Amino acid sequence: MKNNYKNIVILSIFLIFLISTIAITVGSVSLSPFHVWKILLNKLFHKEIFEIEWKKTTEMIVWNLRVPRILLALISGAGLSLVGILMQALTKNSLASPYILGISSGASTGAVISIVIGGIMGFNFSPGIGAFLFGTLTAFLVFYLSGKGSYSSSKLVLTGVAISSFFSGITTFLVTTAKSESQLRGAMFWISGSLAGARWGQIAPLFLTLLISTILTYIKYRELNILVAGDELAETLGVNVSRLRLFIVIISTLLTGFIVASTGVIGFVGLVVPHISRGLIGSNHKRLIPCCLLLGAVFLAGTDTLTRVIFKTQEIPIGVITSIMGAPFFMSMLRKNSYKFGG
Amino acid sequence: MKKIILIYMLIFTIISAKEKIRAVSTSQFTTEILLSIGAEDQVIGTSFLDDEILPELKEKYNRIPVLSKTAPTKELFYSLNPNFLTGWKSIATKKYLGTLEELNENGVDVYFAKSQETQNIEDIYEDILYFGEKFSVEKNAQMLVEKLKQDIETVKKLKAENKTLKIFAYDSQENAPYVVGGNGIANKMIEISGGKNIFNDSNFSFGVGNWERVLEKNPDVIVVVDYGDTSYEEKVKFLKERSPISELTAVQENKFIRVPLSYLSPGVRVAEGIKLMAEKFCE
Repeated sequence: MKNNYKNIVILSIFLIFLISTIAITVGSVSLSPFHVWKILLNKLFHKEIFEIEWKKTTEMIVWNLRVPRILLALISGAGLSLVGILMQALTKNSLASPYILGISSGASTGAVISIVIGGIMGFNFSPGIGAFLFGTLTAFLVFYLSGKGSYSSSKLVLTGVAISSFFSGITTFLVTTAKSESQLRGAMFWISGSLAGARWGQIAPLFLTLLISTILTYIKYRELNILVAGDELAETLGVNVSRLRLFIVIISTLLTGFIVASTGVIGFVGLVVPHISRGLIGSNHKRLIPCCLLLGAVFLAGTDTLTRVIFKTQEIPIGVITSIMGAPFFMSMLRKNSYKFGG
Repeated sequence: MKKIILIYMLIFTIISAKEKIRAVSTSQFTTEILLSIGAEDQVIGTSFLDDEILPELKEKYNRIPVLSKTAPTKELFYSLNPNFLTGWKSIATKKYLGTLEELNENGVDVYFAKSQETQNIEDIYEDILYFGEKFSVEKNAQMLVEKLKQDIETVKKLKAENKTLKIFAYDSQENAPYVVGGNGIANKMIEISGGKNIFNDSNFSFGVGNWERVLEKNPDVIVVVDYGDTSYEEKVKFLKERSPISELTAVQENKFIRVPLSYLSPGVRVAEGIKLMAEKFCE
């Protein structure tokens, strides 16, 4: 397992570099990898290290479109996988995904409200902000409602299902009453998820949120290990379970909220990557967290790049491809009986 | 007995042939064609207005009930007892008024303009002539076609000499641009006006393009299609301030042309639409 872990980390980092280079060179316009790296280095150091031997528009394609997109893919993939681990630890349910608290349906509702109604009570907000506000509110609501009386993880999951279906209903209602085709398309973007909207403005706050979440989660890896073994055992061993639960929910909700606000709902990544990581290196969160971050980044950036290579001029919703690519891999792993959740 | 039946059938066919048309038109461009050829008395309802109806048709238009902003409901539609339907093709689907078979079974004759799906200006003439025959206003239809032909010949001369401008025709959306593609009347109109649509190799009339292509092709002029909730000003503001193409020369130098959507539909405004663009392209 130890060796395995080292190899995975090294291989993932190598893959991230490889995928990023491919992602920036390939697209509807093919560029030379040398130009790409020269442009990047020039941009990073804000001066002309290399002589400019390319068109101004080439630079725009690289810097305004492809770089933010690959960064968004890496960060979202890593973030969703991290939240996946946290949610699975919180609910002790191997089917838990970042969206189990209903954040995705809440976010979709928020985004669609801003698109179709154009705000609430004269208060206008962009779809991204709507998604963030409604998504985080929904998640806290689910957590609050499920914590009333005695807490149980199945209650949490069921509350999530109920609230999700409530918001999905509202979203569907808004989409069916949408006045125009363009509203409908805008709404579908949120519901199906896409990395096409990547802009520089989103990258810094997202990266910061991911960094802080990662550090805070990593510090608590022991507590997470104990939590998976069961609440009672954790209490006996001196873990403040209810505080840990609140911590998990706050971190997960904010991180997922930020991701959903920039990409819409991308499914499957946060559910599958934690399981794949466990299958490869076991269930100790000390190794699981870094491994998951790296694999999640590779997985989402890889699928997005592959999609862009295959469909050069068309935007295919990334969620479609993550499912098609991830599902067979996941199933083959489940068939190998060596894998047990939390064991 | 046989004779009687035959006579009855004969009378019946004569009566049914003379039956007045009760038409519903579910798109602005078909509505405008029908009003232009003087078929307004046979139109019992309209819907799907994109923007202002042509001023010279306004009075006629106001006399006909507007069934809905978008698709009328099935019940409302049948309650009017229509026998002819035209408009956007999407109207004849389960979601709206039912499939073609269903409409035909219920005695509704359906005709969708050929020009919705082609690139030929001639198809617009054919559509108009078809409507002329259908509504027994052949003369008016022929006159309208002649007028359109002349107008288009006139605007063709406006085209700048031996200069073709690269055109990006932006419809809407921010994450990936929704654009005028290569397979429709709008693309043809851009060509006649002396432009070359940068998405002219795509197989849709309107569809999702991508920003990379726009940057790569570096268009000379940006046509902004104007309709619906997002105003022209908002779209331009987005392109200038928040879009990935904000640094392009055409954007920085405000080379925008506002073209209302109704001018890019395959109807009676085609010549006007070409004129609108050709004049701007010449500047």
